[in-house]
Amino acid sequence: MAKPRARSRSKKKGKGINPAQRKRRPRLPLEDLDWKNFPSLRRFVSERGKIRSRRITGLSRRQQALVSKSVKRARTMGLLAYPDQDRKVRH
Amino acid sequence: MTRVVSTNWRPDITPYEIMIILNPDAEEERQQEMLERVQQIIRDGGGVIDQVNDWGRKKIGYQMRKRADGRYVVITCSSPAEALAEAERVMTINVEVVTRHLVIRHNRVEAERQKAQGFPAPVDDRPEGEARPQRAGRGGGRGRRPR
Repeated sequence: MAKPRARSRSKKKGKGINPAQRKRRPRLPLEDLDWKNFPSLRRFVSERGKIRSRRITGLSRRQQALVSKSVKRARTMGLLAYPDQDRKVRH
Repeated sequence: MTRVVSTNWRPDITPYEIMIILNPDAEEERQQEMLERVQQIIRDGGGVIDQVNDWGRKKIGYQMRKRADGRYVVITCSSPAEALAEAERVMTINVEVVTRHLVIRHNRVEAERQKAQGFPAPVDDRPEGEARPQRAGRGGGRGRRPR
């Protein structure tokens, strides 16, 4: 599984980016992307439970929209936690 | 010329999935009765139940109505919207049994795909108790991170 991350771009000016250095998009198996499939959604959520930005996940705009929608649905149904839940508990 | 009309396709019947979180501490019969009742309402309203998937007792990500656990059941069905409205009404009233429910409309492609996959329940690779793994050993692999 490809790690979701963006590659640093080439520093050369004037020339187009080498295709190998272009922003890397993780291949997202769309069959697995489902709001009920919460273990695989954890990949797109930070340790705190926040949704990772597109810059980090490297997803296309459409895929990111799907992911964020799924995460939010999973949150309403208690499959994933809301961000900063434990902070409330501790105090 | 005869046109072959696809079997049992009706524009008013849409695929839905209903996720219900039941109160696992309620009596077993009441839980079962609730599930039966919801399905009966859908059938009476002209819908078809495709699959009832019981995930069993699971820890909820946060306290919901002061309950930490829930029994998750996913019902996949095709139904007219009116029947679902009635089912939702019934579920909302029975707070003691149904902790929460969510109805999602599927698009047809998605529904067909799920049918082909056989409605698998997700396997939790990180079960309760270790919601926050220590990641000290594998930091640094993520590129630039905010904060």
